[in-house]
Amino acid sequence: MPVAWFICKYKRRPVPPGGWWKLIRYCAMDDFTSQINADGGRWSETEILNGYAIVKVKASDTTLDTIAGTSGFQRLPKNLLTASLSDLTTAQKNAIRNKLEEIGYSLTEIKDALGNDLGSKTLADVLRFAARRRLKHRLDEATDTVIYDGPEQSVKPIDTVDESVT
Amino acid sequence: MAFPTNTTVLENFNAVDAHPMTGWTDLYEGVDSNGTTGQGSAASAISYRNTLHSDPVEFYLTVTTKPGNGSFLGLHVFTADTVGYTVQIVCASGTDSVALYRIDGPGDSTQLGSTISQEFSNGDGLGLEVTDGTNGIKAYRRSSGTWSQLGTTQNDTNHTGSKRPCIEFGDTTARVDDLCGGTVVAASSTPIYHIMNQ
Repeated sequence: MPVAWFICKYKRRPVPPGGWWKLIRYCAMDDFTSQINADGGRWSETEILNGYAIVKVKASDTTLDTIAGTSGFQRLPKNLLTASLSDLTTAQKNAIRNKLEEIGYSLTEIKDALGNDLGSKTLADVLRFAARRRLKHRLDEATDTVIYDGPEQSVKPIDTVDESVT
Repeated sequence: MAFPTNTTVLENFNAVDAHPMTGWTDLYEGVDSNGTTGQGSAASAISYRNTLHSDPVEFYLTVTTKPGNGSFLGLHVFTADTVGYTVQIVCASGTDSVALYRIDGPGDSTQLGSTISQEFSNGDGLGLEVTDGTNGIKAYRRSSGTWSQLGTTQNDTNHTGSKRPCIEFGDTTARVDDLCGGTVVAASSTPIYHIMNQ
């Protein structure tokens, strides 16, 4: 069964009644759990900056295509961590770089870590960079928005995600 | 390693009703010490035991009566700062679901991994094992006396150190019994002379 890597965001579920619950977040990939399970597949995620997640999914091609066609999900152009990005088009490499900036990394930090041409890197290089940190979130109750500006938190390593979905 | 390894009964819920229960702290409303259900007209109740247990920890209880459809039952494992991890059953008219969460503050949770489709029956067991490091966070269900892991192991190391159990009711229907567990008991190793004689 094929695998694919995606970047998506965390979403919110309604909190139960009562005074203790304030916020329930979940990885948007969970919206496809039933479909992935029906394929006999699975998925695993790691949270990164600004409420984004890097997710590895094992599912049918049909399901992977459905996920990739859903707003808010970006499928990465390689499926194996060891895959070289040397054959990506400029547009594909720009899309990855733009996503890293959208996630919250500066262009300077991206270039310092990955160089000027992503074509010299592997998918693992890019994903390990993307998962180098995340910040603790908080709920701004006045605006009912989740803000990611707290201290750095530990991040589940990309290799752990990779090993969870084989 | 098999689950559970520590069968110490921490709370048998046989005491005279009191709030909070002896040895417990109420976070929101309070779990009853005799009925173990959400008290009075409160929609939910959440209480934790005061005693902390060294890492790694495991806790489990018997779900005597499931929550009503649309409601939930949670078994949390909290650090001294009341953050940690949770396994939660959400009951449905169809198949119930289970999920693991990281709790980062009062009622601030992030689901770890996917939602697990699993029907529960009255009398089943619900368990949670939390190990700092690579062994991770595991949810368990006991059915007909046999424990099985639910879903996959989740890896999260944001809340480490000693932890204590906490029970949460989402309605006044659910009831639990016999909260057990503590620090995971390491399996005894086979003596070398046994190996040498084999």
